[in-house]
Order: sequence, then structure tokens, then C-alpha cells
Amino acid sequence: MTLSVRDLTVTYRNRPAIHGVEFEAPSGSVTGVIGPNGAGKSTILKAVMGLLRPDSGTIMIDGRPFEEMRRSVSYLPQRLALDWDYPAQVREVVAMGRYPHRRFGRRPSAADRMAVSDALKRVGLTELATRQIGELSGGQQQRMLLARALAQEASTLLLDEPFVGIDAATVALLTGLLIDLATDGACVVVVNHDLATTSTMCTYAVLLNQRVITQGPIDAVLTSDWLDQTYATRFVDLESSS
Amino acid sequence: MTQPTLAVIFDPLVQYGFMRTGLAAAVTVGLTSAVLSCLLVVRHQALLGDAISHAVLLGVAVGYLFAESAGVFWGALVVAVLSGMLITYIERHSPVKLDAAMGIIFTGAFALGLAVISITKPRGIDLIHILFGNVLGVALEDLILTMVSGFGVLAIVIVRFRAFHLWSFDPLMAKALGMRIALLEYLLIGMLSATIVAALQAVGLILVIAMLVTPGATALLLTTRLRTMMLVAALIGVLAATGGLYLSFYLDVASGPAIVLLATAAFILAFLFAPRRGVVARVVQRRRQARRVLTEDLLKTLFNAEDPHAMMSMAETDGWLLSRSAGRRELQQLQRAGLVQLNTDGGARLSAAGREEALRMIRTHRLIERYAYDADGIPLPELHDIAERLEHEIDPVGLRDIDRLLGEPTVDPHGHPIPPVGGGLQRIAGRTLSDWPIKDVGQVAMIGDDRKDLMERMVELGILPDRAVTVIRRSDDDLIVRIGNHDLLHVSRELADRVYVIPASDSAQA
Repeated sequence: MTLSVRDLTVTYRNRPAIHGVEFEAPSGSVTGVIGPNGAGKSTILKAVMGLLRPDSGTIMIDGRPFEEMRRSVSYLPQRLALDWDYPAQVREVVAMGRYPHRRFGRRPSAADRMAVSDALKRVGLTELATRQIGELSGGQQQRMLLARALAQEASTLLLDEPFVGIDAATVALLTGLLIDLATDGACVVVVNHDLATTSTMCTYAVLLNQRVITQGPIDAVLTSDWLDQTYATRFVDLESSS
Repeated sequence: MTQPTLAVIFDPLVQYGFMRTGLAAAVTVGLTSAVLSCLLVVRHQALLGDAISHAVLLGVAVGYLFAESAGVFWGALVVAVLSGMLITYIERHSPVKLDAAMGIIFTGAFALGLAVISITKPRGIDLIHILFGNVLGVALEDLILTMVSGFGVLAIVIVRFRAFHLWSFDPLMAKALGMRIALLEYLLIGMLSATIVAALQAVGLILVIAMLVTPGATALLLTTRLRTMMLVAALIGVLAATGGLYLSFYLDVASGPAIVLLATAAFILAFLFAPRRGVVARVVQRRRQARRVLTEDLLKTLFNAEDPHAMMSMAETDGWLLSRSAGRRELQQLQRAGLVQLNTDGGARLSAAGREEALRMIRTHRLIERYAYDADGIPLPELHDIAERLEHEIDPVGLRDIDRLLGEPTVDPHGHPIPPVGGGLQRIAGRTLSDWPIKDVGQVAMIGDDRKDLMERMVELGILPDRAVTVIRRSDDDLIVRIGNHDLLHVSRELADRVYVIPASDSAQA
């Protein structure tokens, strides 16, 4: 599953958030999207998922239009965007990942139940399956969200800042799982402001500051030259157009 | 006893047709609005019902203008749906947020409705009945409309439950999966409108607002799943409707207010007495927690007294050990729980069960320290206080989770062994730095964490687990030591008492 983005431009209140973004996130690798605050990292993910309307852009997965592949894509929102007082138990939320697999009006199949228990097991939440979601720690909540994506059996995963406010042990567990998924052929894209986790987890990176500065294998692009360009540059033409 | 009770319930139904239709209408409205209230509450849209129901007055006025009584229902329905859609439209297509959009539309439509009524002065409209309901005046045709819309709404909620569930928890995911969000939004507004219009007769426009919030909010306090929340809310709605109707019949209270008051009473009861989230439950839990802290700290202290090498902290527990009577009472409670044995002269020792419990506490404390140090990067001197607080709060499942995440560590950051589940404390053959033979090269095994100031000093001087240490000279008050192969250091005896040293191994860090 290779995700390719062509000519993606998104405008917020007449001000370009990202401009002419083109990149490829190859299957079998964890791709990090790196850039300073306001670089448009989360905007890219949201535009790819169709959560906000781009001015232009084509999104393809394995050469097919994104819309056809939508149900095999999983998006993990920022943890704090969700209401953790919502009346739901851990297993139920993970089972939401099965939504695209279930037929209207049918009871969950054996495959559905298996996928949910497997996902819970892989993130180590089996014993917490009947907890109310608000009783989980931040790290456990993030693991639950990844379990939901696992239950969805998504082949493309887009994660928006999954490591914010999460302890190092959970980060290690999550990055391990993401690397495993990529090794099994999935395309994993992680928006992340922390360079340290990016460099340990990602094999591929896209450096972004409203435009793509560079992209490629992690060792080739995580150099001080490229990073300086990404973090220092502000595009005058974009700034002045507001 | 049974005879008169049944009579109280059934006589009105048998004797009066209006009670039968009234009860059927009230129960249908109570049930439907309660189920919808759950969706509104979890979507933080509780006031959407408020907005639409106010706007409905306009529909009532206009409908009557066109077709008298026959027009009221359809006028109300059309305006309800339109106002709901208008609110959503404004929210989606302007920077105005939902709350403001609702405020504008509902006051505007309500005012227009009042204006129309005051100009046309329709004879057939009793404003009081429209606003506050008159369930005992429900006609059979009204009842049929109410039931059709009510059961239609319930059927939609049941059939589309999974979609509503996912959408209300994570709208972004719903959208990302390509679900038709707009359809769900308008479906909800349609159901809401139908319910409000159906409730016109039973509770009236103003009071239906309560039925679209209170049962759901009450059920939220009592349940942890949307499904059960809806069932509990439905039960509350039905009981309030039924009870309110009888109150109205026997006490001559207006039916709408009676129904709403019962629902409000249910909320107050749940707010105070809900098993986990109620006010009382939380107070009880805090008390129980305070007692547990006391018990657990006492067990640790006793363990420590029996086993000085455990090097546990006594600082926090000193305070209440001094207060003899409290300590005594607490000890007797522990004896009753089988955790300690007391002898006649006031001495106490841990029973086997008490030892086990104390070891569990030590394990918890040290695992939390390990976690806070490794995973959260908390500095050494802070660890003890954090663990001292969290060790009483974490549950066994959470602890197991931490243990696995950390890869089942065997020592804490201060070098103290972490006892395995159900196991004892590993012995470490060594001495404190104060007693360590002069010139012998030793290795720091563990450092005591009960004094934050001394711990800070140790970190500063680099007296940390695994470091090589040699005592050069010793006096009554202080020692001169060498840590690794650095310069000589002065350390107080107080500090040296808290450093536990074993013979140096190859792993000792210079």
C-alpha cells in the first residue's frame, strides 16, 4: 500500500496552510512527517482523509483513488480531541474498528470478535477490556486507539501526534507495533514533532514547512542542513498573501 | 395492602378513557425523548432540543392560521425540521458556533410565533397548554400520531445504533470511514423534531426540553456504555411519565410539571447516590482510600521495623505512630483483619498475611519508582514522594500493565530489589557506608530514599547505585570517601547511614 499525494493545497481563511504538497509514503515503511508548529503536518493528514476540503490535490493508494480505498485506511486522531467521559468501554471502542467490515443489521461475526480480542492482546489491554475509557491512563488510551486501527485491519495508518503526553515505555510499545505493521506491508504515516522518536521508528521521512522541503530515506533527510531549512525557513510569498 | 394499591393504579384507567390515552401518550413521549436525550448528552448538544422546541411555537401559530387544529401538527413539524436544519446550516457555513446559532434561531422563531399569535389571536390555541402540556386532554388522533412518531424514532435509533455510537464518540473517524455524517445529523434533527411535536400535548414545548436532557444526564451518572445508558434513561423516562400522570390525577398538579419534577428528582438522586460517580460514593471512596493509606503505611512500617535491611521509608508514617491511641486502634483493626498479631504489652508483629501484604506494597512502591524514573524521566529525589502517593491509588491490573511495559524489572532506581509477585525480599549482604571497612573497595548497592535533601545531595555527589566507593577516613560526624576515581568527598554520617554498600564486582562503575 503506497500512499501518494499530488499537488495538495489547503487554505485556511484565505491563507495557505499547505501548498503544492507532493510526497509518497511507501508501503513497508514508517514515514514520519516532520516540521515546526504551523508547518501544516496535521493539515496534511486531515486533507488526505477528506476531513477538510483541499483546494486541489489527488490522493492515491496503490494507484487507485483514495475514495475507493477509504475503508482500509485508519486515522488516529490526537488523543485529546476525544471526549473521554463518553460512556463506552475499551472493547466497544476497539470494536468500532470493525465498522467497515460489518454488514448492516448483522451481529458481529466470529471474525469480528477475533479481530477485537487480537487487537486488545497486541496492545496489552485484554485485562482492561471492560473499563470505562475515562479510567485509562493517557498511554493506555493511545494504545486503545491503535488497537482500534488494528481491529480495522487497516493497511494504511495515519497517526496524528500519537506520542503527546505519553510515557517512554508506551512510546516504545507503540513504535514497536508500528514497525511490525510496516514490516508486514502496511503503509504507516506518523505526524510527530519529536525528532528522537522519528529517527528511531521511521525509515522514511517527509520534511515539511507548508511545502515539502525534502523527502526520502530517513538517513538522507535527517541531516542538519535539511533540518535547518525546514525549521528556519518561512516562505515569504505565503506569509505575505494573508 | 395489595388490593387498595392496585385500585389506585387501575381504577383511573378503567374508569376514564382520558387516563388511558394520556398514559399511553406520556409513556411514549417519556420513552422516546429519554432515548434521544442520551444522544444529545453525549454529543454535548443538550440544548438542541431547547432550541427546536421554542421554534415550534411558530409552527403551531402558522399551522393554525392555515388549517386550524388540523394544521398544528404539520406546521409544528415543518418548522421544527427547518429550524434544526437552519441551525446546522449556520454552524457549518459561518464562524458562528452551534450554541450561538441555536440561541439566534430559537429566540427569533419563538418571538415570531408569539407575534403571530398576538396578532391573529387564534381561539383554538391555548398558549398555556402549548407551552406546558395537557396530557389528560390528548385526543385519540393525537395519540396515534404520537405513537407512530415515537416508535418510528425508536426503530431508527435501534437500526442505526452502531452508526450513531461511532459518530457520537469520534465524528472524525466516522467521517474518515466515509460515513454520511450530514445524513446522521439531519436524521437526529428529524427525530428530535418529531419527538418534540409529539410531546406538545403531553408535556408541552417548555417541559419537553427537560425530558430531552434530564433522563440522559441521569443515566450518564449510572452507566458506562451508551447501550445501557439508553435503557436506563428509557426506564427513567417511562417511570417519570407514569408517576407524573398519577400525581396529576390524584393531587391535581399540572401533568407536564409533575412529569418533569419526577425526572429532576431522579437526577438529584443519581447525582447524590450513584454507585460510582455520585457525591456520596465519592466521599465514601475518599474515606476508604484514606483508611487504606493508613493501613498500608502501617504495614510497611511494621515490615521495616522487623527487617531493617529493607530500607523503607518511615518518615510519612512517623506522624501517626507518635499518636499512640490512633496507632493502637489501627493496629487492633489490622489484627481483626488477620494482618498483625498483638501481644499483651502492646507489641505488634506481622502475620504471614500481613507480611505478604507489606511485600505487595513494597513491590508496588518500587515498580512505580522504576516507572516514573524510566518512563517519565522524573529525577531520583522526587521519586519517593510520587510513589508514596500513587502506590495507594494504582490497581493490580494497572500495576501488571506497568510491570510488563517495563520488561519486569528487578531493582528500583535506588537499587532496592523489587520483590516478585508472591515472593520475598531478596537479601543483599552488605553494610552501610558508615560501617564499611576503611580502604576496602565497595560498590553502592542501594541508597535510602526517605530524605529528599540527602537524596539530592547524593545525586549531586554521584553516590548512586553501582558506583565504586572507598572510605578513606571516618570520624564520629562525617566520613571522607572516594566515589569511583574522583576527588575525595566529605559526607555526613547521616548520609552515609543511607548508603548501602556491597563488595565491589566487575560491574562497579568507576
